[in-house]
Amino acid sequence: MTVFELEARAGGRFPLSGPVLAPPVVDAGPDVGTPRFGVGDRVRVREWHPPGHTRCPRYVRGKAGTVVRVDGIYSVPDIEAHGNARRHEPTYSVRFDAAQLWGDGQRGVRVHVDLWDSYLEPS
Amino acid sequence: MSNSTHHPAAMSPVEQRVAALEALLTERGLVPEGFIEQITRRYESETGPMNGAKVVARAWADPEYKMRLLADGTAAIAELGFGGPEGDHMVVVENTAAVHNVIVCTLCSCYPWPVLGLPPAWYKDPPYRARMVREPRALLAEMGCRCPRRWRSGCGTPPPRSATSSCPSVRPRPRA
Amino acid sequence: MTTLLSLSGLDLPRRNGELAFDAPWQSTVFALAAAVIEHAFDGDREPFRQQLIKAIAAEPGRPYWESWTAALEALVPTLPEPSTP
Repeated sequence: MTVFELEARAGGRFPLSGPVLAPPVVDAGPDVGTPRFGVGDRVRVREWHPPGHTRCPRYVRGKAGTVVRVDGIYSVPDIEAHGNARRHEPTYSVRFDAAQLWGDGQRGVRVHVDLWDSYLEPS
Repeated sequence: MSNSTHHPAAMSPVEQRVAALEALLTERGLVPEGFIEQITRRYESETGPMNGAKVVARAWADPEYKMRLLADGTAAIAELGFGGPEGDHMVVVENTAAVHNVIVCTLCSCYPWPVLGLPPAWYKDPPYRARMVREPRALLAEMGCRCPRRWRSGCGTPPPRSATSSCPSVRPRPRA
Repeated sequence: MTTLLSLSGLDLPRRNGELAFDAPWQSTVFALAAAVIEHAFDGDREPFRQQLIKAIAAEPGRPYWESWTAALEALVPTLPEPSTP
């Protein structure tokens, strides 16, 4: 099935999304079966900004938080979106203080973000 | 076909694109007879917040069910017969006298279809998805929920993957 | 409680004060994505979800169901060719 078939039927251009900017991932490395972190651990989100698809929000990059839940093992979207390679890793719910994220003095507000194992390092 | 008119010239551009998709995918054998009508009926009238209300009511009435719900949302919700797409991994969090929880999908619109149906328009809007993370108290107040200063507000994103869904908070019934 | 609302000759159910779909093309494209997920990806929602995330990120102001349509269009060329019987 091609773009041309879709366009022929619709009678016009099909504005498909633009090309992925990141280079294709060929070697994803091995699956990670054992979580590196547990509930209560302090972690820091790695400070890097991938050019392509990621599920790590920019506003937590470089920030420290606490693991509050260990979730299942899932395919890393940063890898899956860029080719046929796959790597599966544990995921976590990590809690951040809003005041530390935004620096605006919000008190008593916490933001929980779900993150893959390789997004995190010990704090 | 479920469109009100089949003539390409009478359709809007997006309707034409959807019609083209439907024709192509049907030819490829990916759309069984009656599938579109079945899915439409399911999400227009058979799925919705009334399901979630039953889960919450059961948790209010049955403390042991509530414990199971908070420990393993997927299994507890399945006890009442609810499950399926966007409900493979349900996490239930509880609003208390001290904590008010809010769920946001910051990337798309992940939502617990089996217990709440499809998300309302505001949930999918970029302003909600950005502001609820950035300034939850202010946005909650605009939506009619004033959080006392002593409340902690937890803003959570759904867990990863297709299994991704968070169930809305269970609010304990005030004791008479 | 369901209230039937007449809208341009279409009767659409309403739950909790909000329509699930404003027009038939929306329920159609929603169902088409469900069909592709179930019958071409064996129930794996992740490929479509990634296209939806990209489509929303590409045009944050675009109406939701149009982004959904764009996501499905982007997914279609990636479908495996059918094996001829």
